[in-house]
Amino acid sequence: MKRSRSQPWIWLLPSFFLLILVGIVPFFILLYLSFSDYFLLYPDIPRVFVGLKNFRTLVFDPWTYNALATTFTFVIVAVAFEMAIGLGLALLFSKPFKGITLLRTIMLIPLVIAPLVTGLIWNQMLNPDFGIITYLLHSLGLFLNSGPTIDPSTALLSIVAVDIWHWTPFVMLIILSGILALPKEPFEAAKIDGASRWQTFRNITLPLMRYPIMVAFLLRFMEAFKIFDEIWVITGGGPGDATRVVSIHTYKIAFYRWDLGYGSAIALFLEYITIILCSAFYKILQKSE
Amino acid sequence: MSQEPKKVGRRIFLNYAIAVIATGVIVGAATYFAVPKGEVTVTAPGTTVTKTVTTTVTETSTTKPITTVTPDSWWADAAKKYAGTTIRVLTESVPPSLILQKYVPEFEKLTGIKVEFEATYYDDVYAKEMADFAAHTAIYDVLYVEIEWLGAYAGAGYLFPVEDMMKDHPELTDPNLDPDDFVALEQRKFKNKLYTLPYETFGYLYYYRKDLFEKYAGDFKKEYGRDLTVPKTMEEYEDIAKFFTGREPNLYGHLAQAKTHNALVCDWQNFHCMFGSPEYEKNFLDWSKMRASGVVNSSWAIEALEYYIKLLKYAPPGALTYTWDEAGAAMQEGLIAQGPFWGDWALSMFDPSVSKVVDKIGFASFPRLSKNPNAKTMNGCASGWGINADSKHKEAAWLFAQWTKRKGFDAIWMKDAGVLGRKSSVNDPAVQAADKKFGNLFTALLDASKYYYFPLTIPEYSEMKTAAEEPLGLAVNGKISVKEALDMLASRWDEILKRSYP
Repeated sequence: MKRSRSQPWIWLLPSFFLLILVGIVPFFILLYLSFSDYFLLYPDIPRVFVGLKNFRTLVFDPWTYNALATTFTFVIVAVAFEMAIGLGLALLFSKPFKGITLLRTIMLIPLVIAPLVTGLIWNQMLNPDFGIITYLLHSLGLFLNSGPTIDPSTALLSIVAVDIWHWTPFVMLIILSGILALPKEPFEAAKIDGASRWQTFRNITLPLMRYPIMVAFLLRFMEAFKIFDEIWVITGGGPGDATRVVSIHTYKIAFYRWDLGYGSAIALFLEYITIILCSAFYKILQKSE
Repeated sequence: MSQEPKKVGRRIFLNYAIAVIATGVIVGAATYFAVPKGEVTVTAPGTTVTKTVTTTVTETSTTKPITTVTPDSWWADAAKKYAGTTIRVLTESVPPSLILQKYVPEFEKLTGIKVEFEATYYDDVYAKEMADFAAHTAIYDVLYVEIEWLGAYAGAGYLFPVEDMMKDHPELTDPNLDPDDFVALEQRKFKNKLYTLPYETFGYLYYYRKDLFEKYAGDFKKEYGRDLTVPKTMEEYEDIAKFFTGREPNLYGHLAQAKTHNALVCDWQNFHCMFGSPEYEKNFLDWSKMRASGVVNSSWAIEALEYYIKLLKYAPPGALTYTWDEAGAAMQEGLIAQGPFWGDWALSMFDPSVSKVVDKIGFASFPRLSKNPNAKTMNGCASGWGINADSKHKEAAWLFAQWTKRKGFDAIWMKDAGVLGRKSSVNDPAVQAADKKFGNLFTALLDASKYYYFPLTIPEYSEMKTAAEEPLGLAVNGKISVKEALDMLASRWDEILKRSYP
């Protein structure tokens, strides 16, 4: 049967249409808004092209810098811990032992919980007045008349802990699937040559695992940059501005102050940073090959 | 000596019966002809006379009899053209709205108009309404409009004024609507035009635990040499706050909503006015002629915020993460002995499914500073039903809004909602009975309302309030000084005001 050359394109049309509708069009709207003065509270003010005005505001806005710094701190600490713990757990679960199936299932439970629900659960547990974690900390003599989420010095760490709990299983899952797919021969050869466990891990497992590790890292890096739900529910960006990451900052500007022009500019800037950093990591990976 | 009971003969009995029936027929006929057609006399349950009520809600309140309510037949006739229409209502998920929701099926049955009633949390209501306005999607027809959003909505043309609705559609306007009967009608106007139909009016109240006040009366007298009563001044309030904090495990003497959120700005305004009114109030009400600098960061303003922060030590540590939702839960959990809190939560304290302090709460007007006794001290809230200017079902929406506030029903709703609606409902026996049952709630609301100030209905107010959140949040969390915070706030407000009032 002769196949028409246009047939595959026809089948792809719905997907293209959807992609354009939910991905490309909003992006161009965002781009357009970021170069406009658009206050939803004052529709009488004409929506005019203002060139780079919003980006100029961004450059001189200490609140945005502060939010960026908080975001980077959060991403670096949270993703580093998730990668380390995730790798350790993946190695642990790669060897068969009694009860492994049950333990693996338990480990994956946080993954199936929506971020908003995760936030609500932890919000209750960390509640400064009646949360179980706060109660335990109080009984240890810690955070008396306070709580980890209301102390500006520990609020971000509390969010990091919640994120680690939520997303480490994801890292573990990706790395574990990589480990289980590794060829057996190099390990058998290393064993015959008398390599120690550490040497096997350092010289065989890790190099063979760099792609799954990089995939896990890139996915977590991009997601951590966009964290919103958990912080919104647990601290709302506070106390003060202690957990005000860029996504919360952008939301407050765009949907509290209704300054859609400036809000779009920050969102675009965040997207730009994420793309640059991800590309850089990808280049590093390619070079190491 | 025993006396035999007098026997009533059949003839005497019949004579009495005929006399009673004849009297009934005469009274009934007289009533029928005395009342204009299409209206019915409202009588309070268990009584047989038409009631006259006097209200003292505001300066403009008048003595008004509950004379007439519009019969169901009028609503059914008016809605005939719109039967089968679906309207969407968006409101805040607080007790008054949840009470109202129970009655929605009655409206649907009566008019044939289908109502999709959505109640969600405060921030979400605002976000959804703004998104609906911006995209002109007209998802919602009837909107809950907080007084602090009114200026922005009306100024932007997002609402269809109900005053125009009344002029354009007299045939759809309840003949007994009587707008002057609503509490705080002026607060629903923008540039002297009525934009929303008054829905609920309330404000901050002084909540206190009656059981704890009784239990510790002796101890308090020993320590302070005076009786433990509802405080009249802030000095007395502070003594009580200090006395109760830590008196029992997890018991605190003050309540605050200090999360970096709109709730904190409301809390701050209470204290700001307490120290600065009437100066603040005078300026506050005429921003168009002045600037924030020199008022919101003046010496008394600094003193006010410092006092607010000082009192936080008597509140639960979690108060720094509280909005009204968490503060309400803390009150219901029994953590708080006394404190200022929004009145629309009052009746939830009496709901055993959510409250551990049922029948233990009393209400009063909030105390004032001895040095500024006549200050307007507490935030008042006056929300209304707005009609979306983009709505394709404005007429059906208007009918629904009026139906929820109709005479005769308002008192029924008020007694369960715990907020103020119509002036004429205040002295309704059902509301009076509820007042006694629920810790003098309505008496406290009426008393407190004399000291309420209401947010401005200027388009910039919503933005100004949002701009105040961050500086105040940084100050209460100790990241910057009170002076720095108020300077930042003043400069932000001036920036907004200069744009609109150069």
